[in-house]
Amino acid sequence: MRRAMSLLLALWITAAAALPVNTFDRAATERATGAVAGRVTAATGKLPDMIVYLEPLDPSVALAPPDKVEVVSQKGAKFAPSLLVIARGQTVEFRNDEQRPIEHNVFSRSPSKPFDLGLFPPPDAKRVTFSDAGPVQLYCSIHRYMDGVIYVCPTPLFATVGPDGSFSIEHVPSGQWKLRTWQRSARFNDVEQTVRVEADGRATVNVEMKRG
Amino acid sequence: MNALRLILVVALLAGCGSKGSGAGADAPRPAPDRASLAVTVRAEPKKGWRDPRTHDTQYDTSMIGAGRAYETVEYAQLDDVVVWVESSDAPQVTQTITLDVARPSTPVVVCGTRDSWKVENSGADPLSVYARFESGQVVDLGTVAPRAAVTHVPKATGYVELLSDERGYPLARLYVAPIPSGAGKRARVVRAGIKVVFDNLAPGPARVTAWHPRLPGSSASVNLTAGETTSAALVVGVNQLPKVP
Repeated sequence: MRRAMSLLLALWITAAAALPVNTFDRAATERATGAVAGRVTAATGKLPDMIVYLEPLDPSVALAPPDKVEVVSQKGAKFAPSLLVIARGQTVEFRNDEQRPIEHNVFSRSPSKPFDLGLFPPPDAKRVTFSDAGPVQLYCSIHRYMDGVIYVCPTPLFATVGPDGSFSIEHVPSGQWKLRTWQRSARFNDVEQTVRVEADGRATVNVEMKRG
Repeated sequence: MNALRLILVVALLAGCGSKGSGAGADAPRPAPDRASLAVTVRAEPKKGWRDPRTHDTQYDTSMIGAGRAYETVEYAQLDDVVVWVESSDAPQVTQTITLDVARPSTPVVVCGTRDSWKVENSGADPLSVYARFESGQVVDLGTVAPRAAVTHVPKATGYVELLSDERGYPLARLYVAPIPSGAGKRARVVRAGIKVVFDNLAPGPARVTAWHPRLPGSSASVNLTAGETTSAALVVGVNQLPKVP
């Protein structure tokens, strides 16, 4: 009996350690009124296709992904959008929107999500849920110039950096966060900075991009 | 007649063996204490795909020509396949790879982790050169003045692009194989379907890997026998990826 109780206790401790204990559901995230804003600067040139995102400093904090299913269309042997940013746990629908009977074979060999959608003609669609954070490079095994990227952020708290370097991430719950950068065609090393957000507060973070 | 058939079968079996002179018939037989490895990389299209150019008489082939949006991947002539062999006797010598950033080069160049890059500029304008590694790491190689050069030893493995603030395209594409050096021809860039022979290898276990910038590659473990050429067949293609129903 004692042995069984010990086993149950060990299982409970293991499960408790593995699961986030401070989960923000969709409604809780949308109610949050904190924000992180700032500007990204670099010594030379512009920063196209760059995003910033927040990751909780406390690994037990988790934010539910949006319910919205994002769409990546294949038309004219191109992915549209060619860069899509989503949250971990979100689903993407891949649609063959070609106007002629042209098959595509979308695949990725990226470590965070290797997959092969198989051959599918228009107007078929297939869905993939992305459970791990990181960049997912998209290709078609048939068409030479088809490539795109899905960047899977660890949370739904992300923003695209504007042409002037400015960004603003809204609906941030209070707490300590890591602000991280990611560039599609990296020209600088990505940056990580810690930021504290008070309830209803607006934190400012300015980021300078450099090369190693 | 039966004897003739028997001779034919024996001859065919000898030619298909994974070891022995049949595997590397076009390569010199290795020294008695050394081994060779003959590798063929096959580029495999998606299973079930039928090239519309040969199977669909109604297909508008004008839109799939070279440089057009629908240009197809040519599996029969797939370039930029990087192949390397990891054996117990990695070469101690290293090599220097010269890359002229004023003359951008499209084909992938392969090297090892201790090999150096000599990045030279034969042009008239200075270029601010940096290297973008597959991991996302960006390394500043500095400004390369006209008719000058800088030297760099890569700190990470994988695919690398050399870029410049002044140019909107890669100046060079490299693959740093996870072996100390590409010297001794332990790493090559080949076209799919062509047999490549790695010679002067130590007998014993070895690993051979094929990588491509776009398509998933593959690896194989082999056991090299002294005085013989062992064969290995690798595949580049999507068919081994996890399927989405």
